[in-house]
Amino acid sequence: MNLYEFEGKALLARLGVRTPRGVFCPDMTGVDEAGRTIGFPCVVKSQVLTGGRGKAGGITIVNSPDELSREADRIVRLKIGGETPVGLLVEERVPVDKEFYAAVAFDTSLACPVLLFSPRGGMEVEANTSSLLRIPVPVEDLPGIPPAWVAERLTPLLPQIETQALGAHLEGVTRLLANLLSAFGEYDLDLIEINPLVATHDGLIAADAKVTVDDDALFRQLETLGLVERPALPEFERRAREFGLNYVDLDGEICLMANGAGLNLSLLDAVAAFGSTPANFLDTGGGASRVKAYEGARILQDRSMRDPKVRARLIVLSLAITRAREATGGIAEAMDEFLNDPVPTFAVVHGTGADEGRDILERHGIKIAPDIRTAVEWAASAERGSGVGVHVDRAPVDPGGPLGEHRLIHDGSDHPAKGRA
Amino acid sequence: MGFLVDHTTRVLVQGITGNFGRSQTKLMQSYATQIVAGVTPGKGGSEAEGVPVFDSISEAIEKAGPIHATVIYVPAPFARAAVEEAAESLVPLIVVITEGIPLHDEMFLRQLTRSRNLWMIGPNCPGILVPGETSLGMIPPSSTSRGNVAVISRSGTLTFEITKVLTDEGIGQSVCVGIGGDRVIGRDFSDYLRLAEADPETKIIVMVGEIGGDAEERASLVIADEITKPIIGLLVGRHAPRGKRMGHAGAMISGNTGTIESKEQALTAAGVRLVPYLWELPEAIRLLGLPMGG
Repeated sequence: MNLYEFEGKALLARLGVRTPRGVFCPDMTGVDEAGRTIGFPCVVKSQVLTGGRGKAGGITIVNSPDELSREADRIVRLKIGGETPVGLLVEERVPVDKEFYAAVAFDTSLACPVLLFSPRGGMEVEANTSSLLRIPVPVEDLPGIPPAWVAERLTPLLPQIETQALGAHLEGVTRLLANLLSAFGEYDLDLIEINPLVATHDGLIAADAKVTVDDDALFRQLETLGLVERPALPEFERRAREFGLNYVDLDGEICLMANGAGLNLSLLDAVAAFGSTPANFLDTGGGASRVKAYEGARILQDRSMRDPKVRARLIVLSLAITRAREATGGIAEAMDEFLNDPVPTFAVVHGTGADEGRDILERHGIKIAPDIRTAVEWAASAERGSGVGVHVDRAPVDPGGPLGEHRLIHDGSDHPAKGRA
Repeated sequence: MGFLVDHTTRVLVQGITGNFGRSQTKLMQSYATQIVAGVTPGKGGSEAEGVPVFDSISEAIEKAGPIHATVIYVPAPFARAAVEEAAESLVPLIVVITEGIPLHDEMFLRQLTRSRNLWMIGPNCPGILVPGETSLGMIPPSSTSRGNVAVISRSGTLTFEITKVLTDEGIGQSVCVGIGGDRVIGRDFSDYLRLAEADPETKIIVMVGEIGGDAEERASLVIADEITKPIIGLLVGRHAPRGKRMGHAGAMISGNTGTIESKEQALTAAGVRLVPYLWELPEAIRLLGLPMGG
């Protein structure tokens, strides 16, 4: 989970890192007061999670109370990348002498935290990541690393000329990095980044803060961090998350659901192999309990009903944890609530109790394929309007029924991957 | 000796009294896995699926005898403590099925188990099954058959589909192992590839990777230097949207890694034969012209 800038800065302040004096205003109510507190000129910053705020007109410097209320009123209503700001940050303007970059991130290759620093921060860094100095931090050393540890490793990495440029700030930088490192561990962070870290005549100031908390650790950090409410997710993401599913909207023709991330990914590729496109990614997780399967199937139905581009739904279950009866029972229940359904559904069911599961789905108007390739092939050539539910009311589907035609036309013989079905 | 485990492996189940742990224990028992003890703190003295339950691993070892491996079904918030306990007791093989364990816990556990020369499979994995020998975890035995192909995969249920495709085509496996789907796992592709190289049963390796991270890129270095057995690779997620979950952090650090193209390039350069779809695996294996058994 990403933190808003004002939340990230509050965290930095807690760590003893200096940030510009600032006031967060959730709406216009406190803006005038904030201006009086901070003084002029000051900076008004949109609080969104989307990047590129500056370019989108979400950050501006104001010189008077009038200008402040005018700009604040504009920015608070300005959507950035489709995102409505959660509020405004009114901040003192920090005189910039030099800009550094400082961060602690997670290094995938080494499976440990890595300290990142550059004496040239600001816009330059993002364009030129190779300029970053990297210090991997052994996991066993992580708790309570002293600034001296950082200094010992950072100094040799700095070219002579940069050391001089850093000058009096070197000590402050090492202390700050040690500080970020302990916060990284303490708050279960994926990333804590200060860019730019502004060097002024009387010390370092974090002019921006980018903080990401590990989603899997929110159960033990949410309370500590005390965050504001997040903007509502789009409907399908929200419904999916509520039941522990993972939904990603795409813009294609086939609605997908499978139990397991890798299996879902392989479906995206398989769909492309047959010249079609996925309308979504929906992972129920390996377990695919009855409830998850039901909710997933409902999402798939709603998604496919609202988008005339969708030609078919495809469900793949490879079950080991739950018996097929449970998962397919949930799907069957969803199908029952949805008659006059123009979109045909295809499914593959393997694993524990698969025969029974296939039987249940078939009785609810779902066409069973023997394997993934066949299922994708059918779905890719199916037509909206040939929905099994239109023709059949909870009765077994004749194998040569409404979909038989498609099987004949697309029997795989014209495809390099020839069908076994 | 099988690949990490065989029919003589004495297995402990941590979290055996939960619904999940219980049903999984039953599944493993049906494959003749020797489950000699279970541990759930506070439930010591009871029984689950005929297996004696203890409060701690040390008590289990004392009363039930030596433990060669543990399978962990403990919920994510408590998984770190469970793995730590197994590591304290020097259980050589620790299979962590649990998903959703915090990243920092995983970094710690990887370091802990490796520093003690223990082997952690996962977290967030389906476990390991050596056909005809034993199963630790949830790989459906019915999708597997004994043979000479080692299936090593980052995925869970996709692994089941792959073993099924192979089995249906008469291609047996020397091992099926899901190494874990999280950003940090106990052992990497390279560790398993070295085992496969040394394993006399294994003639061919099927390696299943996916987008994100750089596990495949790192493995390619080891493949080029150390692995002589043929490797068929499958990479999934080519058509996943870019940047959906790759935030700023990933982009800043890994540069071009994490993409299918990067993995493809690295593995191909190391001599791995890649197939684009899982249903092309049997043919690719047959084309190698090796006696397959199974």
